[in-house]
Amino acid sequence: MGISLKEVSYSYNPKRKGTKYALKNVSLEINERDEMIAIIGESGSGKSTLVSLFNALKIPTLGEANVMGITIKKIRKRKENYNSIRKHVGLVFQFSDYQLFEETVLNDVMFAPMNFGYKKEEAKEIAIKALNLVGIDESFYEKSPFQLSGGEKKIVSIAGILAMEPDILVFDEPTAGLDPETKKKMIELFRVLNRDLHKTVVFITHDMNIVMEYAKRVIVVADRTIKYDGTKEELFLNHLDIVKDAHIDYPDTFIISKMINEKLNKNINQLLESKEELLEELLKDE
Amino acid sequence: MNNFVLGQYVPGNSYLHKLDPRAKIISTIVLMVAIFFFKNVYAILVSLALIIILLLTARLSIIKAIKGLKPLLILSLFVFIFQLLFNRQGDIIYNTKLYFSLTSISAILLITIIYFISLKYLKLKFLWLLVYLSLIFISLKYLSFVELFNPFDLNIYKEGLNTSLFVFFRLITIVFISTLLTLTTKPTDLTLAIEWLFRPLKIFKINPEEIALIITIALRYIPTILDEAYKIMDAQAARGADFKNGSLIKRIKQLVSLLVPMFVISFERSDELADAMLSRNFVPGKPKTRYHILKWNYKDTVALVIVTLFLGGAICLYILP
Repeated sequence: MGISLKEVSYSYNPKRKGTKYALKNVSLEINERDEMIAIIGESGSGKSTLVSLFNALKIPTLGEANVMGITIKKIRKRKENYNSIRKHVGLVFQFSDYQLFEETVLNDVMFAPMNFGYKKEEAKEIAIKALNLVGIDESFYEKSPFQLSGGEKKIVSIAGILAMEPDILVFDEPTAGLDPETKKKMIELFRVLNRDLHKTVVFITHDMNIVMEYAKRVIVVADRTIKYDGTKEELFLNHLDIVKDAHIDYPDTFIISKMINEKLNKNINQLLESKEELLEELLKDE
Repeated sequence: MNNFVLGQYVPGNSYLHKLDPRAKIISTIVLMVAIFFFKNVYAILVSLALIIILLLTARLSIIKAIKGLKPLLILSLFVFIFQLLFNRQGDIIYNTKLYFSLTSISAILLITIIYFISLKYLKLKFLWLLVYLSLIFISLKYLSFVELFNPFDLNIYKEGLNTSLFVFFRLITIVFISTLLTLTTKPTDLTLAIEWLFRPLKIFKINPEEIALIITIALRYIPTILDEAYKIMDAQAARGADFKNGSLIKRIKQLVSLLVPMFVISFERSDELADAMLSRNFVPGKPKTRYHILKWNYKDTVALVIVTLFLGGAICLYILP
């Protein structure tokens, strides 16, 4: 179960001669529980294409994807109905404007459960649960989604996905363009989803500090394929070439501790997850 | 998404490509008018042949031009059949009895069901429609067992056949002429030409530059908006929306979830675009330097003269008995 990709390639126009693949030969396994994965890589490397394979929005041109026991394969027949996959794998898009459309916040969050056949009352209950989870209070329920600020819209759109009660949650650049406060709230939400509700959370990000602090597993996408799949420690310490080729930054704590080690001739662990830990380490040494 | 080509323009270097877009637009209009002056099918066929020769000498693919006919095929087929059945002038050239019997009606039902089911898996839908119609005709003609109504007398008259062929070919010729224009002219050049042609409207305080700007921006944003539509559909599909299956009411409901974000995003975008243009010192109606300047060549004059002669000939044919 979970998500498994076997040598998947994807092309946006497979019929054209000499077509370029947006993804080439990608193999990947993701568990349906308890994973916290960051997908990193420069813009245009294929990250967004990769995540839309996770819930069958895109069908592999070559190879085979298996999501929650259902095989997704290119076949000649008409597009099959993959709605049951989408219930298990919730994908939150980068721009929340693409998602919101109802007159009120509450109705918009109810959209997904109603698509999956829940009655109106049940859908409302589920929606309220999701809204509570993301910390949107009752005063917002009857507001129009278009009145909200960018950050609030984003959080409502996440609630809209959580209302499907998916096992795996995938976020496409969730923190882009958010103020630090909202950003923090969002990341904390990921932590709750992962640690307390045991869901698998996958997020695309360019912020290495978030990767360092929260991710357990890191997938580097570069040059249209997966270049690295493993722990962040291993990546930052032993794979300098990949970090360089994929145009990835190092996390602040990594850079600062490296500078301290060089200038002050100390030996601090470079893989501390947060600035607080770094400070503690420094004080301990004194 | 990436394979979306705006308009039908095929890059090339032929004499048709090199003509001034103004000359091409005017010629297109003149030719269309000329076609409407023709009264018999032979003149239309000759002009259709001429147009095809033009297409070939400009090294354009006929297949592409035929593909341009696609949206009109059903309409022209309908016009053809309508004329054939209801025009009752001249001699009868074909006569047959059509039977509405239990067997023929059940055969038609069966054929219809097979037709609609197979439609989903087939590519040449138009050819299949022709096969379908002829199968219906055959079953009406030959399956006469257990008659329900009196047989229907199908008469095809000479004049009816003539008119239907005439209307059919006239439609095709006109579409071919406009395809000739769109295949060889860039949308941007077309807009420039339209701007030039609308200049007389300045008398009525209408600024042709603004019209051209509106067309340019609209053309520029078609692929962007399409791309957006696909993204919105994906975002809603991720929440279990289904745009293809389900009852009509359900599908209309799903469509709302596509249209509302489209409008919101488009309005926001146009606001932003206007601000961006203003902040780069754009003032509506103020004269500005141009990137492209249209150049009128002696060849354009030659083309216009030929086309005008053609129109003259058509008018002569019309007036002369």
